[in-house]
Amino acid sequence: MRRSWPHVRAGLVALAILVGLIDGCPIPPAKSVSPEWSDDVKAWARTRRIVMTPFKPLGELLRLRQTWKLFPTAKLRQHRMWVEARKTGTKDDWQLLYRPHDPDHELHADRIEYRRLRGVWNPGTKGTRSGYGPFVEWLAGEIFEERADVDRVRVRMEKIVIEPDAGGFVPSGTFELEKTQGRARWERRREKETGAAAGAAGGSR
Amino acid sequence: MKAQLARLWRAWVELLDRRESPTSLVLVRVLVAAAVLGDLLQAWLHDVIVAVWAPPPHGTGYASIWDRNPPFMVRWFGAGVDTAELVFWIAVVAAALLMIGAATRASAIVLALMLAQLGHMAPEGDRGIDFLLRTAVAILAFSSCHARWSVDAWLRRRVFKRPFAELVPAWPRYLLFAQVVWMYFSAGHNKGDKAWGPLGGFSALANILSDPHFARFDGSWIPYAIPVLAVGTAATILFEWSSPLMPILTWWHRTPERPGRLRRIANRLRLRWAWIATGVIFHIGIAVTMRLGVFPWGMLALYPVLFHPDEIDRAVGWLRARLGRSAAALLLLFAACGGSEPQPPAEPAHREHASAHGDHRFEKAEDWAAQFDAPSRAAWQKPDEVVGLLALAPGMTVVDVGAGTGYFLARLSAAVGPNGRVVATDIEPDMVRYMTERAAREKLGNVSAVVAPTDDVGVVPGSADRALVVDVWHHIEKRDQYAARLARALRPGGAVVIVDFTLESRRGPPRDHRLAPDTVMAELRAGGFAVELATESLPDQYVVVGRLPARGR
Repeated sequence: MRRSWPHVRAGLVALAILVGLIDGCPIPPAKSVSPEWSDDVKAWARTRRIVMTPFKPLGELLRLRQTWKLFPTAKLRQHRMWVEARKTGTKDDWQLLYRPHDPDHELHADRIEYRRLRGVWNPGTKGTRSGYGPFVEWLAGEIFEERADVDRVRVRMEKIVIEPDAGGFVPSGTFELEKTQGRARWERRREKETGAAAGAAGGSR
Repeated sequence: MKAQLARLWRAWVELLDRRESPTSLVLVRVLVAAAVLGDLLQAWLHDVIVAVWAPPPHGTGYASIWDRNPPFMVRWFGAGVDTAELVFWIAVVAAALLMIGAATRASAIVLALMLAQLGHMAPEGDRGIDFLLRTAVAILAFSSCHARWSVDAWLRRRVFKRPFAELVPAWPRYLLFAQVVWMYFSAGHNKGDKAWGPLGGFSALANILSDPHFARFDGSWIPYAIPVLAVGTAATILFEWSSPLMPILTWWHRTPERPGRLRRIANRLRLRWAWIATGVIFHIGIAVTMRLGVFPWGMLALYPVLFHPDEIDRAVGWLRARLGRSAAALLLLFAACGGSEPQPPAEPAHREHASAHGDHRFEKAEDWAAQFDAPSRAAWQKPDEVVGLLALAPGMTVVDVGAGTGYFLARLSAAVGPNGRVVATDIEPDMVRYMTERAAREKLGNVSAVVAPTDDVGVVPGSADRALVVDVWHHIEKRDQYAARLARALRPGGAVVIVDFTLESRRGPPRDHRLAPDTVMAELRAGGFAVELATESLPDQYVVVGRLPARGR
């Protein structure tokens, strides 16, 4: 074994590199492939899936992959997030609480901008991610805890156009991807959880 | 074809069987663990552990994936706030242990697993840098990144009295190197947006820096910097696409003596350094201008793998010589190169003959040979001058004490001629095996190599005319006694030449391991020698010559 170990190790390292390269080899999205190449691309994708099958459990266990994307796109149409809260008892008195690069409105800026949390709310090229709803729910809860004078929290994305020549971006004044959370719903949920927790504690005794 | 494949395979096996100083891996271990730890602690400081990793309604965790295939910690402990916090804190503890090198392999495995669990629990917050650092931690788990500057190394040395080998397997560094190269190349070919190319006017960096979600500053400065940012965009693309050249550039850099016009040009233009410098500037630029969290620092944490450990050791030695130990340590905050004990810069000079010391292990002489016998050594070791000080004559017997890989053998052999004898001694059997093979290869018929422990000169008393002790004396523990043994080994009129590092030298062992010439002279005197400090021109070393009386003592 001692004599053959260098060969075994060399084989394992070669295998690791080969599997990594196969995993990371780019496959163009179907819509960008011309029809005459479409079958080849599909065949390659199928082959890769089959080849990678034995390594899938390890890849999932350690959550590894070899496709790397560092700012693959640098689109001109982007968003700027607004976090607002409505004064209790009003119909439309929204106060701006947070907006990036707005020193007058930076409630929870450190938390919201923590990179992992930004990964949840920052819209990608395909729109919001699935964590966006829970993010709004969580953020609203934090705001309701601190501000007794608000009854509704709204998070929405302002459409902006990137214009470096003009000093950054130009806001459009139009919004999309709006989500709101009301205090009443948040309180109901909190009461339910408090009750459940008390029940569990009682049960354990 | 078959023979060619077999040759290629042998070369591959030999490449992955190489050993080297652990400095690069140690540095990566400390920096990667520090980057992970810093990133996790930031979540704690901002009080977003639950927000990021707990499932709704407490946090933003991606619960739907748990329904299909929950991560094992969720299967075991259930989906909730407690599990999120448990996994988070296990990861923090593992990262801290990895950083200080305590139970290093276990810490690395646990950290990789827990980071993966956190990634499964919050996949949208698990970005490319997390995948990269996780991969690095997994590779480090199989490496000897704890061979220095670690609790493990300290325990092995002080408690178990079984210190780590000085050289460790190099393949984990090669694998990390390949990972960095592939990561950049993959990032390059995944940049599909035309803003990254000439059709989009190389406007990508200007666009990204104008995005309020990522930019650190408002964009008022951007109109003035657009040409610079366009150059930066082009440089980024060139940098990423050219990354597969890095292994070649590194190989050329390590083998400048080989022929080849491209090698010469690349080395003259310092293309390898230009690539590394571009990467460093690129990531520091990102850290200054964008809010990407741990990304730039995590990337830079892997950069030590791009350097051969000797390069880092030399850099640390250079800094120490100019700034003093503490200032250099401060400057290289994470410079693990000092080792778990104060280590010298890993100069070939220090390692040469160091196996005379019982603490050192030199298991693979071939790995050391590249360093010990480097052509550059002649510039400061001045072997011809050293051999000249021995005043050898044909027919004499000379002992090379702690000869290592046999750097002096050819010169000594020539000086004593076919009727003379050269006895090369070393404590390490593999060094002796190497010297025996070397003598045969270089047709040095009058050379023999023998294993000799630290309390034995390795020759019959009264059988040698000269003894040469280069870079070894400071390793010997009971030097007075050894000097007396040397005197017994020599014939009347015999002489010993001791070469060692000056206290001020920029090379050599740590300063507290060095010996003043006066000390060496006193020790030789105690052994019965008449001593003098030789006049020589070695830049970093002194030479003490001890002579025995011509008619016995």
